[in-house]
Amino acid sequence: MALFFQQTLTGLSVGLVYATVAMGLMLLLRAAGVMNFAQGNLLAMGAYVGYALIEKLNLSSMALAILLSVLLFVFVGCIFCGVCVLPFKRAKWPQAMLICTLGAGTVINELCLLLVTTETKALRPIIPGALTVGGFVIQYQYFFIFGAMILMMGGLYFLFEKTYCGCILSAASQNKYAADLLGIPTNLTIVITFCIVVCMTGVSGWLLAPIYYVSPSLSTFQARAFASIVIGGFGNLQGAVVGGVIVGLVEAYSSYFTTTYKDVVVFGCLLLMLVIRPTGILKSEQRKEKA
Amino acid sequence: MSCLKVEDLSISFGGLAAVQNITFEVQPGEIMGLIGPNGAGKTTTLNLISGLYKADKGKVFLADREVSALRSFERARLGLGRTFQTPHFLKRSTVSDNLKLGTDLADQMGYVKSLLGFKGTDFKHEVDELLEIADFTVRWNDDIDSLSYGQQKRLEIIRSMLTHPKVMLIDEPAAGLNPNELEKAVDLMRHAASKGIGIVLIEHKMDMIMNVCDRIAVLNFGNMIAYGTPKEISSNEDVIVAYLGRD
Amino acid sequence: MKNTTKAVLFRYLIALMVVLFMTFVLRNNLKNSQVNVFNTALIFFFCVAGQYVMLGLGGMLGMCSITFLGLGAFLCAYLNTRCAIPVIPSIILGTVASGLLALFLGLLLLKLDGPYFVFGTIGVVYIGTSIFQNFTAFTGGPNGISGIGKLSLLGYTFSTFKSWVPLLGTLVMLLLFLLYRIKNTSFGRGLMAVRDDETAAFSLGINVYRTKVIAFAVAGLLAGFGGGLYAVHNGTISASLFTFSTQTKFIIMLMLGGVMSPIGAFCGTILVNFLPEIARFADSYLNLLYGCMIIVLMIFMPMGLAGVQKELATRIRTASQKRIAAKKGA
Repeated sequence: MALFFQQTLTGLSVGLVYATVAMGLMLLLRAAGVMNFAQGNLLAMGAYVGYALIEKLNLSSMALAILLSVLLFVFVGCIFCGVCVLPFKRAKWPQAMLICTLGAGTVINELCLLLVTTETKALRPIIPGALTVGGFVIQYQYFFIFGAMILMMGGLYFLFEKTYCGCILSAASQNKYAADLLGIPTNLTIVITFCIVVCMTGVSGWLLAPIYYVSPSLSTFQARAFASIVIGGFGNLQGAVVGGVIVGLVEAYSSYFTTTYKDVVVFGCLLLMLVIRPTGILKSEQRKEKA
Repeated sequence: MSCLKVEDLSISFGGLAAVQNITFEVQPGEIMGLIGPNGAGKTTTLNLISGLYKADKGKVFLADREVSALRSFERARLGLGRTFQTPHFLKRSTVSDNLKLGTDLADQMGYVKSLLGFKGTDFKHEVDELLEIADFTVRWNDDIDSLSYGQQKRLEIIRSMLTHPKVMLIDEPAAGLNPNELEKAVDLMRHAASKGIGIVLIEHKMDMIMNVCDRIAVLNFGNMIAYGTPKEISSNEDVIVAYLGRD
Repeated sequence: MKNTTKAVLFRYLIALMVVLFMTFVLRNNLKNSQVNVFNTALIFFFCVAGQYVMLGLGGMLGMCSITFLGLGAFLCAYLNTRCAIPVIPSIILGTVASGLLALFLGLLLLKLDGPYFVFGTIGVVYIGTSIFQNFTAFTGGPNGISGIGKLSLLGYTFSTFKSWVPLLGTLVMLLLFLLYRIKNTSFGRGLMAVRDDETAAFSLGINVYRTKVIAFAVAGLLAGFGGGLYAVHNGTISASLFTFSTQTKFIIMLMLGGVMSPIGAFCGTILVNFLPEIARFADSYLNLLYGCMIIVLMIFMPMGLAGVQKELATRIRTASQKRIAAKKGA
């Protein structure tokens, strides 16, 4: 029983991270129309940035570190957008943008390795140690991850549903042409969306670093994020969240019967979902059916 | 034996009845016009006939064979040709590749035979003849992009004729064409009709419709309000109120 | 008629000369390790050719060619080492198995729209990677399979890397001819219609779903054949090759040379495989260089090297036409 709770909590926390990465992917897909294959690398970048600021530069003030990292993320977001999205507005071959994000991901990965460290490092968690309740153990860091993800998701929800600024971003992402006609500065909104996404992903990476270590392997989260988007419901943010949590739980529970074939279970679910119900659990805007 | 028969064709999108109870018949060599105000359901009717939309109700017969359950490409293979308001060509390919798509449909030899090198019928002679009627020339290896809009529209009709269809559905051929080009497009259609192809023609230019068509069906708000010869239609009270306007 | 026969013969002659060049010039001037790289590039071209059919002609971004490559390789290796089946039938069986898997997956996944299809194939890659790395009974797990037999044709055994060069060169030339032939068949045109304008395809009697599935299966067959060749050429294989990151390399090989040009894809494959050799000086910066190259490529030359060549040729032609017209005018 205790194991079940442990798995559930681990699954939920990891699932929330998948959800955040998936939300970022979804936002970018809607805003720029690009499937960002560099999302995992952005996550890893967050970890490296955190490591660089805390361990390498030995910044004592957490607030300063956070501020610097946010500035850096915004900077990266702008460059990423300028390189991978804006040149492709009139692209003849849509896959070119996708491949470009692949290249960008490699560049981000390599820069992290070169500028920060090539070894796998550990990062001090915000509060070290773990909470022991009954039979199961859960690290304090997970609570921070939990809390931060909920905060970010809540923030995004608030931004997009309740504020005017969010409405504009949302409009631009749903129908760029119409938004252009309405005088919404779509280029600016795309850049802002990118910056938001990069910040979110970077912070998530930073929070994950104490548990998953500072290494490029964090980029494997990306595949799970893809799976989350499909399983939860392609096209809306709630879908990404639901999908992420489901993937996290599936992965956690799969350890009951297999540890080596986790990937097979998770992506098997993905394929199953695609075959049975491609639109995912939460249906999104439907396109017209043709015979 | 009619080459195209449509019975009670209907479709609704959501709550909106786009097209209701359309019934008409086209004989080989006959040019039938389909007219009506914008939004009357003319293109929808063509889409229903060609199978791009699935009808809620009604039947379609191609040369006395019911095709209502067949998918669009199956109907095309049975001899249903189609052109579109904006020409649908493969923008990245050459003129010859685009035309060969038409002759592939006429030959229908299958992928394996084609790979093994079986040559299809030599259509160059036919194309030259049609291009002469259409009054323009192309080079085989030109990109399709290099043709003007008027040339592309006529070429789409030519491509459809190369498939040796029984019926051709032509959607607003006059849009964007100057009077000379339009005259040549009409010549092409008359040539097709003389070969026994039945034509359903959507158009807004009334003088062209009245001159070219043997019979006309008038649509308004998805319903067929009149069906007869051009003379009957131009004096039909309902049609005048709905569409033609009093002169 | 005579002109086309001349053109065809001319092309065969060029192909022969290329193979001879590879056999006598290249392999005598390259080190053995470089010949290995060259052979691997030629073998990988089979997988890239499959992707050309799928993506270049068909417009479908299927990311699971690497899994077909792996299946072809592992099945061939398994049959040869554990079931004592000779080399050539093993390769053939590996190819057929990959083709069948591709057919099955294609039937399943090609009912889906673009992005869903891509995600589906990505899922397949990860499943494949996991199985290759863990299904020890079949793939030997982390150690892989070794001791695969050598290829013998008509009594001659291909025991060194250098001996493979003429064989692979000939196979690749044949493959290139096949790829160019496909473009001129009803299948190729139908596939391009599916890529460029589905509405036109439907109205011209093309069964879009069936055409896509066939293209996907062809990609699987070619990748499987490449896998079998890879296994026999190297003698040992391990699961570490058949991952998603290698798949991205294959996509880049295709896009670098020219996604719609078979010869371009060939050049792209050679280039990408030789990049570590060429850029040896930039050792630790190699991947960074690689990433930057991809970005620059996609922004400025999305049609790859072949696209650049085509544009240059068009510009030269129009410039010379203008000059001729000006001369005539003057």
